[in-house]
This record gives sequence, C-alpha cells and structure tokens, in this order.
Amino acid sequence: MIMKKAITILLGIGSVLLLTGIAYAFLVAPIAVDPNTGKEVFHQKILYFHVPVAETSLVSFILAAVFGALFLYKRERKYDFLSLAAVELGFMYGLLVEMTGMMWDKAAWGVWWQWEPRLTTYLILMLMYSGYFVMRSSIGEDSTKARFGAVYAIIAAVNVPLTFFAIRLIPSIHPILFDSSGAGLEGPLLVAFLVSMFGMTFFYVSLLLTRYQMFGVSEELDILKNQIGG
Amino acid sequence: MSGGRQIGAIVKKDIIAELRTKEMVVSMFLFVLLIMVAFHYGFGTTTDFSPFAGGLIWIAFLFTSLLGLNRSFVHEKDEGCLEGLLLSPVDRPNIFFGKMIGNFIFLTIVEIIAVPLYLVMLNLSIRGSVPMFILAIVLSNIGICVVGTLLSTISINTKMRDMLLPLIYLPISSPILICAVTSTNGIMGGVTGEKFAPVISAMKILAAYDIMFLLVAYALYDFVIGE
Amino acid sequence: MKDQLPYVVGVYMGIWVVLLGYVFIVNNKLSGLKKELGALSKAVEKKNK
Repeated sequence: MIMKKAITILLGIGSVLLLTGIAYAFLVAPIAVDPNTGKEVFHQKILYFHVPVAETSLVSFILAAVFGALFLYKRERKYDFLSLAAVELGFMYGLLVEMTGMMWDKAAWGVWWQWEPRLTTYLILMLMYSGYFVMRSSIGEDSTKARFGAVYAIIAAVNVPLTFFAIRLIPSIHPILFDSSGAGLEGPLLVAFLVSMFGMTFFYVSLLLTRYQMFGVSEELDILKNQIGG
Repeated sequence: MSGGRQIGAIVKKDIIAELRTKEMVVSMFLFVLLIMVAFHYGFGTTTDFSPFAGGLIWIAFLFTSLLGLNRSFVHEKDEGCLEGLLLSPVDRPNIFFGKMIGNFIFLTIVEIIAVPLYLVMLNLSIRGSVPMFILAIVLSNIGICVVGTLLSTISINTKMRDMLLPLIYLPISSPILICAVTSTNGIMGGVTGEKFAPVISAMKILAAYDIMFLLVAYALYDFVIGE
Repeated sequence: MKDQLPYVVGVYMGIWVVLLGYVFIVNNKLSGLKKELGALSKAVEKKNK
C-alpha cells in the first residue's frame, strides 16, 4: 500500500511540474531567437519536452543495464522485473523522442526525416531494443529469459555511447539552427527546461514502479494458478 | 590445461572440422561473390563504384559474417557438441575465445580472397596506404567476431535460433559498419590532411568497440552459455 | 511562427496522449490483475478448507 501511495504522489508531482513547465515555456519564456539569422524560432518550444523525454529514455536504458547486472549478481526476480520495466519504458520514451524529433525537423527544415545524428542514434537504439523484446518472447523458460534479458540489456547499454560517437563521424548535411543540446539556454528558458526535466523524472519513476508492481502481481497470480492446476 | 592451450584446442577442433567439410568457408565465399553480382545489377549501369566502395565491401562482409556465425553454433548444438564442451573442464570464457578466434580465421580467409576480387571486378583501387586498409579490416573483423560469437550463443539458445541473430546482431554491430565504411572509404579514396581525421577517429572507435566488447564478453559469457 | 504552431501543438498533445494513455492502460491492467488475484486466492482458501 505504501507503494501505491508513493506511485500516486510521484505521478501527481510529476504532472504538476510538467504542466508548470509547459505554462512557463509558453507564457513566461520568450520565443528563442536564432543567433545566426536573428529570426524568432517558435519550434524551439518543442525542446522543453523533447530533451527531457530523450534524457529520461537514456537514463532508463542505463537503469535497465544496472538492474540486469544486479540480477546476474544476486539472482532475485525483482531485478529482472525492474530491468524489463526499464527497457519497456525506455522504448516508449524513445518512440516519443523519434516522434517529437520528426516534428522538429518538419517545423525547422520542412522534411520529416533527414538522418540527423541524434535521431539516427535513436533509430538504431529502437531497433536494438526491439531485438530485446523479440529475444525474450522466443525463450520458453523464465529463468533463461531473465538471464539473457539481463545480458542483452548490458550489451545494448554498452553500445549506446559507441553508436552515438560513430554516427557523429558522418558529417551532418544541415547547419545547426539552434543548439538543441540545451547548452545555450539562459534565464527563463532554463527554468522552463529544468522544471520539465524534473517533472519528467518524477513521472518516469512513478511509471517504472507501477510497471514493476504489475509484474509482481502477475507473478503471484501465476503461482496461484499453478497451485490450483496442480 | 592452461588457458592458452584450452583455447588452442577449441580452435584446432574447429579448423579440423572445417578442413573435413569445407562447407563454411566455401559457402561464405560463394555468398560474397553472389552479393557482388547483386550489386552490379542493383546499381544498374553504374561503372564507377569508387564513391561507395567501403559501403559495398562492408555490407557484403557483414552479411557474410552472419552466415558463418550462425553455422558455428548451430553445428555444435545439433551434434550435441556444446554439451560435451560444457562438461569438459574448460573455462567458459575460453570457449568464447576459442570460438571467436575460429570465426575470425574463417572470416579472414574469405576476405583475403574476396577483397582482391572486389577490387578487380568492381574496378576499385586503394589509393591510400595498404597497411592502414588492412588494419581497418582487422579491427572491424575483431569487432564482428566478438559481438557475433556472443550474440550467436544467445540466439542459438532461443526457440527462434538462427532467425534471431540478424535481428540483434545488425543493430548492435552498427557502430562497426559506420566506422569500417568511414575508414575504408577514406583510405581507398586516398584522402589526406584534414579529411583524414575522420578515418583516424573511426579507427579509434573501432578499437574502443573491440576492447569494450571483449571485456563485456569475458565478464558475461558465463551467464550466456548456460548453467 | 504560424506555420510552426501545428507541430509544436502536435508534440505537446502527442506526448500527453501517449503518457496518459500508458498510465491508464497499465493501471487498468494492474487493477484487473489484482481483482483476479483476490478472487483466486479466495477460491484457494475455500479449496484448502
């Protein structure tokens, strides 16, 4: 029951912070100006959601690897549940990153997809973690599923920085209109960004715990079903 | 037996089995040739392949390596050799290194024949330094074999077996593909000066990739091969 | 600004729809599972008596 309360509270804080972030971004923060052309870039508002989502998804993949390592070390089912939940959520957030990134491309350059390095990295990550789900579903035993899942989560997480640096090698065709890494943020823009960032983190933890709880309940259910069947 | 001799014994076993049947190297080699012919028709009337020489070579080698990687464990599993290997007092990571070196040798043999053939038949030439070209190929081969051996051990223990390997191997090996193509393209095009910097950093990333995954494989192979 | 507005709105709406949809689906499934678990454990208790 403590868990349920914690989930609700985290979800509440997260939502409030996210809504505050949006309100702040649209009402208080000024429209960003492109330093090169001096034009206003309204689509920069996407950043207040796009970057927190992207960073949460990366954190999620790293968490999945950490929980995977913990599972291999301690052999407790709960770490496997956490690892799987983290991969699932990271995957969902990754899809959101792709979606918002494509919207950004369309708004900024008029095309949906142009092999921009960060988005391409995410595309490869998505393909990599789709493999995770295919692999898990093609294993019969639960213990093997957990073991291979943990190993694969670690391999994939090691691959994330390598992929990122490798893709950076190929020169990007398009000029960088606005530094979307968030490094150029100041004053109200930074406040809006940080509020969204924290909001997204709280939201994420709440989702992770919910998903974790769900695995626990369904495992209990399976045990009970086996008892009745046997 | 010491670690080195255990690895040597596994490599020797693979080579003897291969010398008897010759199926792996021959089929990989034929596959490379077939891809070359497919490239010719796929690109229509193009006669100048030099701008994307690295891309052609590495797409061919990556898919060819898939063929060999799948074979290397399907074999062991079907004949029940894997159980035998696991029962013998060989350290698990040494099984990995043995299989990896075996795969590396077969892939290298295929490439030694295939690279000159590609150069001749697609009218390509290496304008840069040949030792650098070889270094790029060796670094990529190590990466391909380390990741491939690790992942094919995983895929062979699932219900999908060899169907699964491409799905997990191709995305995870994408840094190899990117770096190998960048470096070989640069070397074959004979770029110098400032344009050579991406080639060097691609090689550095390849080396980092090899080392990282060797460590990961060494640490995790115990859990992969089954208990 | 005008031609960029639909995309910005699309992003914010899209993310909320996906996130809230996820919360809704997961919680729905969770309560369903809990109900099933409660019913089953009662059945098991009866059987044991």
